[in-house]
Amino acid sequence: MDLQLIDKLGRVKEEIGRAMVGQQEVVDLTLTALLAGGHVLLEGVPGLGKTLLARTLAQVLDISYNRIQFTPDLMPSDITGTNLIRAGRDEFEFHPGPVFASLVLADEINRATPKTQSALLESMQEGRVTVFGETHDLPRPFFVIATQNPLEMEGTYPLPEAQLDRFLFKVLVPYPSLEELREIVTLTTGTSQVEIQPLMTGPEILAVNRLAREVPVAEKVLEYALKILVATHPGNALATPGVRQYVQVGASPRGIQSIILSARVTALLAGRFNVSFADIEKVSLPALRHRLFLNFEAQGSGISPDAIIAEILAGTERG
Amino acid sequence: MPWPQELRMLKKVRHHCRIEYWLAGLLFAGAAAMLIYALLTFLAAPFSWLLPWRLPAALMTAGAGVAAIWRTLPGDVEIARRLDRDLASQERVQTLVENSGGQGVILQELRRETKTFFSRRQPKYRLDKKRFIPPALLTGAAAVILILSIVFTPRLAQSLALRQELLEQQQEAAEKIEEIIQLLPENPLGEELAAELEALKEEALRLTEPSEFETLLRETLELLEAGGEQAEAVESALAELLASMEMSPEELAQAAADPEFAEQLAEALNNLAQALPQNISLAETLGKLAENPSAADAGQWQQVQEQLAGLDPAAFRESLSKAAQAAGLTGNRPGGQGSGSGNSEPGSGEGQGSGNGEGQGSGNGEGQGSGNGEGQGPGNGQGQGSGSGQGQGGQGSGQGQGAGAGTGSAVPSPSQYVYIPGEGEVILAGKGEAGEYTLRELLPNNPGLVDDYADFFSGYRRQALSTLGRSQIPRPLADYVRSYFEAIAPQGGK
Ligand SMILES: Nc1ncnc2c1ncn2[C@@H]1O[C@H](COP(=O)(O)OP(=O)(O)O)[C@@H](O)[C@H]1O
Ligand SMILES: [Mg+2]
Repeated sequence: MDLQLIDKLGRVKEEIGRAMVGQQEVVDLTLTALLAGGHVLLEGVPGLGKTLLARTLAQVLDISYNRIQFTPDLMPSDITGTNLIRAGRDEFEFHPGPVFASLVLADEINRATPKTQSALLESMQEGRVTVFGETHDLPRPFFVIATQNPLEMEGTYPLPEAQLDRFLFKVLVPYPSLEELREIVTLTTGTSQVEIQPLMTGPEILAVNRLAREVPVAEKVLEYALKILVATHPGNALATPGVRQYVQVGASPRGIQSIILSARVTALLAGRFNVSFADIEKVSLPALRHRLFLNFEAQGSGISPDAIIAEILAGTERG
Repeated sequence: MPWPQELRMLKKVRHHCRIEYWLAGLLFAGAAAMLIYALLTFLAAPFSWLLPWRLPAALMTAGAGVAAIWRTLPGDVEIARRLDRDLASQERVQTLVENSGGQGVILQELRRETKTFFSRRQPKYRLDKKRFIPPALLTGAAAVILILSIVFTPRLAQSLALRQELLEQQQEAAEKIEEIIQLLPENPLGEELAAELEALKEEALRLTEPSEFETLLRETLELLEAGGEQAEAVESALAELLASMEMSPEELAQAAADPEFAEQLAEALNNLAQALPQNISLAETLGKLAENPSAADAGQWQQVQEQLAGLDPAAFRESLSKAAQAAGLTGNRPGGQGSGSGNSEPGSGEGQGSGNGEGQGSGNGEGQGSGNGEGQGPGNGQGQGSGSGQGQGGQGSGQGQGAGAGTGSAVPSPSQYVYIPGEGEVILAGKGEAGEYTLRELLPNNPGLVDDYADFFSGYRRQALSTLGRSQIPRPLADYVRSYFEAIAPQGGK
């Protein structure tokens, strides 16, 4: 029965927690995005457990997993795969690339050239890969967790705005606290190995996604989300002073889709069957922060999208 | 949409919400009703027929308010939102109510989960105190306004009535004066007085105090009296002049060559010029003529004779007494206004007579005389004249002499002259042994002071009041000026 899946979700979180110390918010949001059928961009310096999280998720959800390390010399075909001639036969056979997995970790995505980046992002969007005119469907479910280093380094190619819009969430990975560090050390430098128990399957994830789409959203709650979204548009009457001053382009309709869909999953993860104002508020930041494009003034005065969204949330009335 | 079955446990809370809404709404309706009642009470000050409509109108307003509450009674969804807020139920209730007819696994789960949620915490009704602040404030304000309206409206009505009365009084006084003006003859004397009365009439429209009307009427009377006096003076001077000029213009021109006659003529001319109001042109003409009567030609004399014929002081005097009667002024003449100059010798009058004689050949002459007596004051002078004429053969030229006898007690009692500005006694500083003395003591020997002061006062006052009428000064200040004049008004024997 479908509903038992929802009970499982809580256990999935617990199981991840066995391997992953702290980072509750990152784990929650990543899981939420995956169940909502969206992709996640994780931003953080190396060594904060991003790879560990992706691997653990793949184990718990019992889905295929590939990690692609993005480098400047990575070619599109290194991701999508290519046609090869099989020895002894005179026909081409498609050799699938690492993108053919249910969970793909695109590590340091901004180190590859835009051409290579867009090869991944197009397959993310369409759920299939086209090589030499032939299309090949990606497995279902299909999730991409991309990581990027927050530091603008030499030889990186920042993702273009249109590509960023394809991620459901952009999640910032913080440094662990002292306590968490202590735990991490104990956990990883000892003799014991954490064995992760597979608790769900790919089809079950798809089923949860279907259920989530049924979760009702009350009129006022939807209105609240809509108000938040239009408040990011500098020309709108609801725009806050910060938006008017610093935002060049506000969030697209994909922003509201992301908010509502992920808020539905958030409700389910909390064991609720309706979307609350709090659910909307919780997902607004990761769903919108990569969709606001700030002007030079904001960059000059060190204003972040997070500050502007916080201002919007503080100024938007519920109901 | 019925209230969802799963939310049965919220029915009581929902009921409380409704009652709360009703109460707040009733407060509004009550405030509106009170305001309408107060408004009509205020309006009833000028429109007293509104008084009986106040209660029905207030009840109707309250009824309309109740209907409005009924119409805008919050629906289930609104109450659900309110409950979600109050009960921190994370939008479960409104989602359920909005989807109360829906089917599906998740909705079923929502119903089940909501039930468990409320079974764990008892839904408790919390009074929304903030909601009662605006209607309570409004109701309080309305009650205050209502009380004010009930307390102050009678006074308002009273002051409106007083104002109306004042307007009527002004109108009445102005009309009275206008009536007098209409009765005056159209000759220089009449026109002169009319101009002065016109000024009084305008003043009447600016008065505010009842005592001011009294003063004004007194002034009117004084004007009439002064007019009468002047008319008398003019009449006698005119008679004298006419007597001297009883011939054709040519003869007059010739006769004036005689220096003796010319002197007599000049005196008569001057007397009349003095008696006339100074600013009319005839006075000037006469004065010039008197400077050298012998130089005037027949044409000038004719002109003068014509102009003198137009002067009809007797008619003017008559019209004055008629006017005073018509305006009802004689009856309520303010008492004790002792104006007049009397001769201090009792019982003596001066009479002047001019007589015309007609003679017939028979040698019998008949003379007629008319005499004027002067003597004014509380005592009336009476003049009688007798004329004697002499006739000469067939020609009737007569000369008359008149002797008038005046009677009257010319000494006014001191109290009639004493005016006391304001309430007190006016102390004047004297010299030498006499020390201080009061106006009351001074006046019997200097009766002229009163006339001077009365003249001075009325001119001064008129000037001030017409200035007040022209300029924009705050009412209290204007009233202050008025009260000042009331205080220094010459008082009769009050
Ligand atoms: N929150 C964490 N919980 C447990 N181990 C962690 C955590 N963060 C970092 N580590 C340890 O640090 C190592 C490096 O993490 P990794 O996932 O490779 O970082 P990243 O991919 O972000 O560069 C992991 O293999 C793990 O042993
Ligand atoms: Mg890594």
